[in-house]
Amino acid sequence: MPILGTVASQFSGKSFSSFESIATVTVTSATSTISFTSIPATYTHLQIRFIGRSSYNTTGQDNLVINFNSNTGSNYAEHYVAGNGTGTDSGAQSSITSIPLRECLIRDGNTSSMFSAGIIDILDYASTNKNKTVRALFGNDRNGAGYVALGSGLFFATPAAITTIAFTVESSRNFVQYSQFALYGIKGA
Amino acid sequence: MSEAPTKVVVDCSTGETQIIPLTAEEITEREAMAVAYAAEKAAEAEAKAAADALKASARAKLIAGTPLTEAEAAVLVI
Repeated sequence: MPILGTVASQFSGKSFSSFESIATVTVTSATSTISFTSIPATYTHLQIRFIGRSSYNTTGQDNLVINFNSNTGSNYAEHYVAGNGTGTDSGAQSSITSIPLRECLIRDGNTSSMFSAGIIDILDYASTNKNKTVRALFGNDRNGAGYVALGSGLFFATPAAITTIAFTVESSRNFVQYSQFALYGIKGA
Repeated sequence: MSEAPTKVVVDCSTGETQIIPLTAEEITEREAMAVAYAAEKAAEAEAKAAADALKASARAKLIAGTPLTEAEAAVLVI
């Protein structure tokens, strides 16, 4: 069947997936900032899947902070709705200097080896005509306590494409070992 | 995890990952920010506890039919 071999060779090395891994960072020692730079504009949307834990040695949770294109001006907004099993919470902020994912990261004073998890979508990130919209679903379960939230964010500094994404911990602590951030590109509409 | 913190930078165009130790100045700045953050959160928690106590007092007075202070009334009436 040489014709099949010819056809197969034409597709060798090409990806047929609409969901591709761009880069993954797994923290090996205390890390203050995780940055993805020079993100190619060849996808329609971006998605980040993460697990994380803050080094803040107390109970509770820290915000995960997102900045785009190294911009720290008051060019962001956010909304969230959340629940912890006994109560609900919601809120919003406008003209802030980053997008915070509220109470997103388990602090290091909680039971060891437990991590928060989440998925962040950055829609139409390569557009040069639109402000950028973010949605995120995240939470944690600590066997008796927990938290789950849905967040949205807006970056309206300029309609320029997003080429850099930076993650930090709001309390100026670090991401602990085994925290992981994986960046994916989504093709298609 | 006792070593100096780092920052991780991934160049998505090349796949290169750099693990860059923070400078002494960056570490000092972050330590100051962490202290400020803890103080801010403590103040927020204190304010919330005071507001909760005011609400509880106002509710108790309403049930007992005793006069509320202006602050207690304010916390109940929007």
